[in-house]
Amino acid sequence: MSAYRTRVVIVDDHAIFRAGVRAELAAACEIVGEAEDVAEALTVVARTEPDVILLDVHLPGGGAVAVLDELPDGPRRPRVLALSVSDSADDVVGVIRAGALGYVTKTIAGPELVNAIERTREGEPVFGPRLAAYVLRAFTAEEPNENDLDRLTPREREVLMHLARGYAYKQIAARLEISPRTVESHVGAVLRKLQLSSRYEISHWAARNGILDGADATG
Amino acid sequence: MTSAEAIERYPVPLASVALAGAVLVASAGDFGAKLAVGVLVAIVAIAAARLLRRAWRERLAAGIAVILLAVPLAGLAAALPLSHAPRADRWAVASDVTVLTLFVAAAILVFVGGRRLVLSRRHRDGTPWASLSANGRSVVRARRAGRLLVAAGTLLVVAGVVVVAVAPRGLAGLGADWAGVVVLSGLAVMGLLVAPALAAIAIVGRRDRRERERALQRQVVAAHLHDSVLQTLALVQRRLDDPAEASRLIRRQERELRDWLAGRDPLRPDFLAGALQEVVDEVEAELHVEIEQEVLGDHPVDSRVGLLVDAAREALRNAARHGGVPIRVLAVADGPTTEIYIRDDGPGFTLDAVPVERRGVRDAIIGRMAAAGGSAVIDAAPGAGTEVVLRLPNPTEDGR
Repeated sequence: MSAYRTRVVIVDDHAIFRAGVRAELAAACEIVGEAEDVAEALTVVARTEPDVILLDVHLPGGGAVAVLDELPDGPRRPRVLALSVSDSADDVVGVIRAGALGYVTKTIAGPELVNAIERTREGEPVFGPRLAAYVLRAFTAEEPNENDLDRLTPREREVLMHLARGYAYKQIAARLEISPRTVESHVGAVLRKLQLSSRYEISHWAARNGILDGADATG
Repeated sequence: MTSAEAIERYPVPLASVALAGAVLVASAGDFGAKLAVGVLVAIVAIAAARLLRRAWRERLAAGIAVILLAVPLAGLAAALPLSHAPRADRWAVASDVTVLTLFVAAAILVFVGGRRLVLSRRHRDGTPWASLSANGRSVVRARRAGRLLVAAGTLLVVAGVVVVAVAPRGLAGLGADWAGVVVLSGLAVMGLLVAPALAAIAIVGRRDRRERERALQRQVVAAHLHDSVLQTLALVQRRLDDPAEASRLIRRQERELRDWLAGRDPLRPDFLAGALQEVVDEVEAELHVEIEQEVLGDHPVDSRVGLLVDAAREALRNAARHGGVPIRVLAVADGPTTEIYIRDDGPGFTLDAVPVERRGVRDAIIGRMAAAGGSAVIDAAPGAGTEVVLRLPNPTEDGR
């Protein structure tokens, strides 16, 4: 175990869930703060300057996106791992677009959560199979578009497909005969494409990409 | 009490008073004065009767009796000193006022009674929840009260007609030029009393409908939760000795509840996503494993896709028996070729080291896919898990 303990703030409106996560992380991480809504989260984060925020997608006061929008920019900006019971694609893709580095479901096992937090601190996207499938679905359903931001390169799609099939970065690197760094950079590129298009309204984006009902909507 | 509250609490009396004033101004004559007095007397008499009824511990019939007696008497009493006419004409004026009072009171009683009947109906069959929560006796009482009041109103009308009939001058005594005023005023009174009643009925009806719809939704939700979540919770409590089975039940319920909350249509077994979900459920139940599934795109199941699904079932069983959790299924059905990836994190194996029985399963998978016109690839390496990739080209639309 590394000597450094990642400093984590847990933001979730369910006290029981916070207590559970705190217990699971106690050995590996330093929990420097907890918050249960958007305003409290911003206060706690400003005070404690954590490495990683474990952020529930559904929060009173504007949701995870409101927190992500208000976080300070620059080197002091904490990295965010989104955590949710939701499996609604627009919720999940929404927080990723707003700047979360990864997404895990609340059913994740303790050791895996610790691992995901470590990776988030390193700045590595935590891209589980489910999130990969959402993103693929979002990009696949879309009509051909001239904007490169709206398209995945064949390589990015291949990497995402492997993630959705359940392969880890290293395994993907071996299968595609590229370096793990390159896999990471492909995933990072997909994240940026999602985030850079954030000037659009979420619903607009989602509709255009067929996540919402209006799969035939023109954008 | 602010004027707004007063209007809210006593809309009918206040409206009647306003009307009395309006008619008074409009006809500015003898009849207007008589009608205004009639309205005021009717309202005061009814209010007094209600007070008395309360004093008599809610004895409705007694209250109505008081109204029936008090209204004409009060009308007479109010009218007699009013007139400046000679003594002989006073009785005529008094009978006019009494008749008008009777009709006004009748209208008020019919309105109040009708409203009670509507309200009691709402209690009775307004909403299933209201009918459950409403006290049966109070509903019956409200209905009885409504009927009694309507009957009392009708009686007053009859009384009014009788008074007109036996009055020395009859209706004609009101004077030819009065007839039109009487009819118009009557219509105005009825309009003002009936219009709010109709509006009330319409509003109550709308509210009833809304409440019924809401209750229906609640019932649908309750029924759904009962059939699904509560049943599963009960099952889980009884299966605590079998954690694998309990966990399977929980996850299946969770998936179902999520779909339902998100308003997603239940998966259809005649489409790939639904057929695959059934297979996943089946293998989870049979072999006590966790399987995560994602489907991109969807299309209907035909006989070839049926073979694909069967092959997927075999691959899942294989993974569940020999592989390691988690088992993951990814189906990609949005391109020219439908692909299903079934992956487990097991130890992996080289094709040379395939156990004989596993080879048999593998043949079943490969054989099925070949029969369907597709292919099956088993991709396994020590340390990297095992992945079965099933591919089935979709027929093109023009059949080529």
